[in-house]
Amino acid sequence: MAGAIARAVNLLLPAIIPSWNFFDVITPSPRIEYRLIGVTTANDWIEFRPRPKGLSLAQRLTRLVWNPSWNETLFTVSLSERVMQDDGAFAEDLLFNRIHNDLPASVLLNANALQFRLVTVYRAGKHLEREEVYRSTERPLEEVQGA
Amino acid sequence: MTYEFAVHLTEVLLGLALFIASVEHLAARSTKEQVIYGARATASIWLMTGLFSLIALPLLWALSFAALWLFRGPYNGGSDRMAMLILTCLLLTKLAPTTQLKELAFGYLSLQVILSYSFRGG
Repeated sequence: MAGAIARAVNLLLPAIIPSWNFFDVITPSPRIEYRLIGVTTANDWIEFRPRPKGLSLAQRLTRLVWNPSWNETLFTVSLSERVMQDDGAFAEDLLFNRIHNDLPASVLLNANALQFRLVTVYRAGKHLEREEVYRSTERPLEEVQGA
Repeated sequence: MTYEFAVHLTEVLLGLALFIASVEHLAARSTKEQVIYGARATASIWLMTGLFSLIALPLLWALSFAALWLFRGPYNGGSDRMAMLILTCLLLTKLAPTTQLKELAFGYLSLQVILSYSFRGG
């Protein structure tokens, strides 16, 4: 009971007494990449929900008020930041769930397990460097929640 | 602008924002989320139109809290926190026993909104 009250206070306090300090430390947001693992093969890493290359003016205007997919993508970004913090297992479960839900059944057909990794991209001179900062275990598809 | 009109306008704008965000969320597949966000979409229409005005605010507050609990934090980052702040202050404007306390709650909300804009949104 005391734990539940402490958790409720922890959730409510930052909303009711905001610091307006949205970012404690400015660090690059990790990108999420996933791969499906079959019996004998593992696919290449695929970027999860890559940004669209270009958008028309009409699309941009529509997205100002209606963009459900982007809302969910932002949530996966915040989950990816939480994976490496306390309570990371919870964020990892949700992230597996969100990636799995995004994949069509035809893609999942020959796969046994799903794995994701988090990659930061930063500029080093003229080049973009990529660094893997986290790699999940290979999780059997039947263990992915909501599968 | 009178105090009553400002409170009403806040309710309508918040109702609209929560309605759009809730309907967007209904694209999510989890049943638990569908229930929470379906109810939130309905209650936000009540808040905008003044229908069932007595239960709309407490219900929206409870649903927003349920979402915070479910995801162990905000789903839509800062906007969920802002919605929670506005809902709490609006609820206090209804529940506070004296006019002074009601105005204090709404004044606190105004202060926070101005701070958020001048520090982060300006």
